[in-house]
Amino acid sequence: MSFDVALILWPFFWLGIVAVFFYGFSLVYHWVRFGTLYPLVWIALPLYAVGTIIFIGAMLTGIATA
Amino acid sequence: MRLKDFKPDEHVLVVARHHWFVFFRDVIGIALLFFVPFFALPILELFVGASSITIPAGFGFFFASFWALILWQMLFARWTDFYFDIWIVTNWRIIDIDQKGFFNRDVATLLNLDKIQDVATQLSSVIGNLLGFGDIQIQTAASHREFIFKEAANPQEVERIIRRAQEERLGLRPGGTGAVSHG
Repeated sequence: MSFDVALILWPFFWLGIVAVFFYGFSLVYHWVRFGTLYPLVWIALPLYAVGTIIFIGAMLTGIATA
Repeated sequence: MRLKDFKPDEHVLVVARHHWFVFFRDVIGIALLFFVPFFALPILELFVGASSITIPAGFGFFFASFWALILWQMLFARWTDFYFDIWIVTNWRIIDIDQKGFFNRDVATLLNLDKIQDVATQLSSVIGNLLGFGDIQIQTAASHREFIFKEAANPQEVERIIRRAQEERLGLRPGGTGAVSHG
């Protein structure tokens, strides 16, 4: 019986997702709510989203190749 | 820019923000943290290499991505702290918007312009002098009250605008000032 080492990575993956959920909600909440006072948030928002998606995708790639 | 509680004839003269170097300093710190796994993984492999266990290639890639994801969140959290922390100087008063963490946002009128006794700026450190950022200090008529905006961009220009607005408020100078933003 062989042990799938990728199983070790899944808890870390979900930890990352929880962190993203917390940070993402807090950041986007502030940016959208106060966006009229701070115009640069409309540039930060897509940049943040794209980076987050890329890193989550990279984590999944890491699991797939482990 | 207008806040909900602005008076009918109130308008923004200047928005004081922290200098970009304040955020750049945080970016450098986060960038250095980013490279931690690149040093930690070879050391780990050195220890593990002595045993019969082998680390699959995807492990390193996964943890580097995980680490980068966490730092990416921290980077934007720091930026939000930096960017949302402002002083708004109007022709009536100075409003301090202080962002501390995520859900601690303090919007307060620091003082009305006619209560200002003295405005001073202080450029400290070599970088502060080179890049032109420093602290703005406002002393009110009540001797124990002093307000400080740390590491502001163009502090001398902000000081000049506050002084001019105060003179206009007190009727010492006629005319108005155009709205500008510094940061």
